[in-house]
Amino acid sequence: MAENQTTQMAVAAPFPEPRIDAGGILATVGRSKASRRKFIKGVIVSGAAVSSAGYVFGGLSGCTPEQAAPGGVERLLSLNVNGETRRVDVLPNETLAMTLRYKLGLTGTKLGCDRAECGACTVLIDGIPSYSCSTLTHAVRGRAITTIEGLEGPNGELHPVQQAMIDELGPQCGFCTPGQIMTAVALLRANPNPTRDEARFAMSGNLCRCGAYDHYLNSIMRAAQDA
Amino acid sequence: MAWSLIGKDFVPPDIHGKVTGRAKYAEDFRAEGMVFARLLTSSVPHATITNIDAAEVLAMDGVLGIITADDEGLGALLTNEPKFVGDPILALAARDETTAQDAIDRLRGSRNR
Repeated sequence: MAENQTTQMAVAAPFPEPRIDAGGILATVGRSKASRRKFIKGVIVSGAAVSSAGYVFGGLSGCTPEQAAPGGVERLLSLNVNGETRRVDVLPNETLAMTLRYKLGLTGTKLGCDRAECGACTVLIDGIPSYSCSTLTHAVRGRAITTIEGLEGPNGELHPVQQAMIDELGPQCGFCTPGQIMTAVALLRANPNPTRDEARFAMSGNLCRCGAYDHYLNSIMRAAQDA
Repeated sequence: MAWSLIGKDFVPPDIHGKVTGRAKYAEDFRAEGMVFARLLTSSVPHATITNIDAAEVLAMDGVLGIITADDEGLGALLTNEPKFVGDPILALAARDETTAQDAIDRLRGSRNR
């Protein structure tokens, strides 16, 4: 399967949804207890199909240009990021990950899946670990956003979790590491002395393709000990 | 010499960047004049593309062009007969990623199943 990465230069293949045609969706809704969400999605897709003669390629997400004006108008927002107030122009449909990475230059926050599956984009919003790929920037006005760049002390001292990640060789390729660290920081604030199982549970929203889960857990247990 | 690293404790030179977010990965780079491509991929397991109507899309502000399997040398990358869901049919380049995706969503064409 193609991977839905927000990759530049290289071509990014969107994950296509299985296309449902008008007859298909009506039949589906008729015979099964399709969820409301599925039904609405189906109506949108079939609407697009009916509006053009013959088969169309099909919208990717039910969000065809007819339904949602592409782009929209940017509005100037003040965001509280890592303790600083940042003024930035934001589209109505822009995700926090996009704003952080491409408008504020905070590329430490990674986009792995861009669909709330992997956790690489985790940031803290008012101290709660959140997937920034699935948070609209307009929804976090006035909230305190902390990214990986905001963890170090004023003189570049590493956060205990960051130091423990080095001591225990937590990361392998390192792509999921910023997200892992943000979740671990939130965990240790809420529970400074977790058991290994508690830590494993708390970290379950952060996937690691290298499979360095035990290394990350070693790091978190060490950070809890050292702090 | 041959055993300078194996069995020894050492700090990998890139780990500091990885734990601080400073390490740059491919998509963290932006270059002057850089453009963005998105693929139109097959939404069905098998089909034959009979027509691609890109006129509206090519007229959009910020859209630079498309390539298809009919362009020379691209038959190995793109196809008019996709054989799995996600099989790449067409690539589109645009000024930014959002425009590219909007353009892909607006493409019209026809296919036989």
